[in-house]
Amino acid sequence: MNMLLCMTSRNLKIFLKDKANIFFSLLCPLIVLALYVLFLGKVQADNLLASLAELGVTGADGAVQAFCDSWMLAGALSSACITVPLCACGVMVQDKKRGIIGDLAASPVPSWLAPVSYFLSVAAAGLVLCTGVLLLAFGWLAVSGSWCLSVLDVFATIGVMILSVVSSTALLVFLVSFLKSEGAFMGLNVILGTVVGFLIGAYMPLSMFPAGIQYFTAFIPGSHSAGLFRNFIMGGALDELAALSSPAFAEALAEEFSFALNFFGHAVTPPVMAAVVAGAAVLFIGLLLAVRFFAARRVVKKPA
Amino acid sequence: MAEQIIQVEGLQKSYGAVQAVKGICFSVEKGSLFSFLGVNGAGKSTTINILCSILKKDGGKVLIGGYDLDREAQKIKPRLGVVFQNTVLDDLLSVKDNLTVRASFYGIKGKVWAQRLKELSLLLDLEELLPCPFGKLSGGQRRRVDIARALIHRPALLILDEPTTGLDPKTRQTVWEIVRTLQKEEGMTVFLTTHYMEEADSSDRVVIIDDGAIAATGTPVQLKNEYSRNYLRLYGDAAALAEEMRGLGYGAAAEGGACVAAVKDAEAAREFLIRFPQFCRDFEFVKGNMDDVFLSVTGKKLQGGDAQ
Repeated sequence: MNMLLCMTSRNLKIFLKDKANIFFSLLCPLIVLALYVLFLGKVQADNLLASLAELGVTGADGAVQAFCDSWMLAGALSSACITVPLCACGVMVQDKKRGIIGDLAASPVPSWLAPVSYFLSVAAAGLVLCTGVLLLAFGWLAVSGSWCLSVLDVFATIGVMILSVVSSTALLVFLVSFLKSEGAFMGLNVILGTVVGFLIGAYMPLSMFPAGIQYFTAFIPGSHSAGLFRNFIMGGALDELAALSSPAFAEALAEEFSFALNFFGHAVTPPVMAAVVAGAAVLFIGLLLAVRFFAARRVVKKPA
Repeated sequence: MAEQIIQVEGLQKSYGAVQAVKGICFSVEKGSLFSFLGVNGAGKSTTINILCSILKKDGGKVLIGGYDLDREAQKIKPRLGVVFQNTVLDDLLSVKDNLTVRASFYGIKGKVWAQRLKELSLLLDLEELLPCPFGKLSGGQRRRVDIARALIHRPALLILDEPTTGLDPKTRQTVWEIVRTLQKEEGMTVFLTTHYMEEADSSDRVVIIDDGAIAATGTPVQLKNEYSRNYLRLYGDAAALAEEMRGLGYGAAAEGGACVAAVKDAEAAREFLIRFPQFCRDFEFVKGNMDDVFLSVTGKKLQGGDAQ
């Protein structure tokens, strides 16, 4: 047990001591923020206000601002839940490269020590940094006067964060365990880091994509956790807009900002999203175990 | 016969079509300093990696401390300390953190670990390095920490894969002294690979491995007697001397201002000196060294073998 604790904290320390790596792990949320501050926020708010003006609703500036702010923060948070664990997986590839896996093989440690400690440390790194992002997001909403969350929403958001981090950790630790070179890992990092913001609808709402791409994004667990974040973080602001305008307007808005995902025409609602994220976690933890099991059997069979 | 801590029989390993280790056999006596000598790519590291359970062997039998590597690797590992060719510690963590994580692999923690760390610091002079990040250390300092990592659990057998490669001469000497001390004072068995002749020369037993097979084995003295040639260098008019000696039926050649004649051993040289004092106004008897041994066994020159 002490072994697992030491190894996990070693992995975590290596990640946390590498400041550049931390910066890159938060690059995607930072881009979301930058896009929003530079122009997306203004475009969205103006569009919304214009639509409201057509309905004859005025004085909704505060509610619109709250809605747009929380949309951006939900995107930043959900992308952080993927990119932070991804960068934290770097230690897995590094250990292969530096021969630390060999050192482990030569030491009297059980073979599950490395994979389990990687899983725990990547999840821990994700939780630590995403909690930071979450606190900043809540701080942003509170300071700018856009706070529309109920106590329940706050706890639900924290729960979604934990679930998302565990789920994407399982997926990424499984994927990265197949990579042998740092080049391959860098490639994955760059591609995922760039694409993820689009795929989960953090840079712009998923409804702006063609239906085919929307269906495709529904296969990514991250899109579902992003959907959950939107529901809980933006829910209060949406209700406020509904009260100012009409329920029909709010419904159209919820559809435009993908409160439910579009899966071949079927709406994926929050309970289903949660089930998908949790299911992905179970699936990939299962796959991780299965791969280890088969690897162990292969080794036993060989010296016949 | 003394107790053998490592016994290897018919060890084989291939990488695809390339046979890296071709059925080698050797044994290492408990408490001895054993050198594995060979050029880069001869199969030294492959053999070591198999002994450390990092690579799977393709065939053969390995016993370490009486335990079979196939079935009882978990009993072998706690008795084994390894210093790898490339360091396996983390650059970003402090020396102390690095060692503490590795101590946990052997179930060493708390007060017992604090005590052991103190001993290791004293032995390897690490006290001042403990709080420094490992990545900021010099090559020699890193090597000392690497050795400390291998010694955490007081292994009976210390394996070092080219421990002195890439170090400056002074650090090499320090590392070598540490290794010698461990073997002499703690009774530890030391198994090392090297391509430095003077290191092989001061071992108890040497195995020369060439292209995956054992080319020669023995104590340095045995090997030198068997494989190296002794020379008599006669000074004077070298060309004339060589001419005269050839006339008498001796193989001789003028080389660098001296007439060089190969002689079998010291006795033959003495006989020659007594028989032909007229050739030996000024002379030198040169004994063959490990370089000659290696050259005549493998036909290859070692890189770095002449670095002094």
